[in-house]
Amino acid sequence: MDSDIIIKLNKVNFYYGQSRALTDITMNFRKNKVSALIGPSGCGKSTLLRLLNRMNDLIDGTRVEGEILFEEKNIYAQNVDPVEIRRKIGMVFQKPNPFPKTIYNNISYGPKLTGIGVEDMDTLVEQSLKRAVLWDEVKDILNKSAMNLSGGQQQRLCIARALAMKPDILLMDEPTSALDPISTAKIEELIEELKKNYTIIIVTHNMQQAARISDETAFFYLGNLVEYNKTEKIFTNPDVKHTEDYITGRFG
Amino acid sequence: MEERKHTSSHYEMELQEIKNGLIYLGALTEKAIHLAMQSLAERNTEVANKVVVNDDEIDKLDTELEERCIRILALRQPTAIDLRFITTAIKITGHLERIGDMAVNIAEKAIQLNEEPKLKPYIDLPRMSAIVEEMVGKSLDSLINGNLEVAEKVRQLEQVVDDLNEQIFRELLTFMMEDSKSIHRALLIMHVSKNLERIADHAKGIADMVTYMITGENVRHLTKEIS
Repeated sequence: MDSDIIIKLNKVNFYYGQSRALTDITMNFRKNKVSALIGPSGCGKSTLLRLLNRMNDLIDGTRVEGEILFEEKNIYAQNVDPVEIRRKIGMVFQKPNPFPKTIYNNISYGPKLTGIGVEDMDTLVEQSLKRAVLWDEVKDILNKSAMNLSGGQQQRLCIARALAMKPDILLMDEPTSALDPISTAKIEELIEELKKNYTIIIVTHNMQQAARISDETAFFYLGNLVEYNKTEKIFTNPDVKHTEDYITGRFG
Repeated sequence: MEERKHTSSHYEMELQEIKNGLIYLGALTEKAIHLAMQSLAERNTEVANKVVVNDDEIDKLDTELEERCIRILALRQPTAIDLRFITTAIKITGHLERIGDMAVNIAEKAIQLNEEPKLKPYIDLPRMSAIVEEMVGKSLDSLINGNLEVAEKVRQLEQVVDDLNEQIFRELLTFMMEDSKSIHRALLIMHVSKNLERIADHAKGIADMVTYMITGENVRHLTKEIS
């Protein structure tokens, strides 16, 4: 495997009961890049994102075929611990979902629970909040409830919380769709910064956002990967007509 | 394959209006070249004056089309073919506006030439002008029909115009060497020829942009640059 590839999907099919949600997906995600997954509702992009850290395991009646290799190991192999996978491949959701605890405890909760052996929790909390560009705003209120933060701050807290687990990859499922434009801009800037140290895979309905922040874009339709290309290519001169129809708003 | 329409009918209409505007602007510039050359061939100063006056409409339409394109860029954030169409439209409107200016240059030279006795019968200039008008017409056709072959044909014709320009230049040099009284008129005719040659360059520029719009490939500097 090329050294810059961190996740490799090989003929992945995914089923909810009898219904197939993803068909023969083969693609690679590159290290320290931002990859965007786009497509209309129901195209399978969020399903694919959740497959990457075994979040779909939590849904009854689902089935995966094919291989998903993370650093060359199949994450669906029998001896793999999904909790360990989720530690290495963190996730941030559409709506900020901080725990109803203090800001400090939101960050320290995961590392404590999984016992990843933190020597200095204060430093980890500070580092995580700094990486999520939230430290300056919350350093004097670490013991206040996270529920008092604004939506944008809560989302950055969730990102900080994910970073505290020292992941390699961050999955983001429409992380700014519930945020105002300023908070969105902050998260987008943060993503640019984070890609120096992490690989980011983001699902977004906002195509301008995909164009702004991602290096590579994958267009999905009805469970198929239609086109996966450099973002600049997708938005200026895509190879597939179907992609062009979607991104130019000629769909249906 | 027929192009699918945008989900937003307003957006579809805005793009169509720009296309229509380019076609109309193209028609105005074609007419300007034709009248300018007619004023020279028929020694008709009244027609030449018309070209100068009509240029205001070309300038106005150029500004209006550019503003419409900028508005779409700001409000619609076009992508892919739409983005390539809008950037092409901005460039093409600039080319057409310059073609209009060159038609005015020709008309102004015609006015001066009409005040003096005819230096020589015009033979190569009308030939050159016919090719240049064909180039402008074809470059616009290639835009309207998205036709790469027609755009390529325009690029090929540019060399023919360049050669004619050089031939006219050499011929006029001999006139100037033989009779110094002919220098002023010969220089004016050279200006006309040079302006026709530059119009051909702009027509090629339009064809290059149409090629970019269709293929996404920038061919502008693969061939001769616009002087």
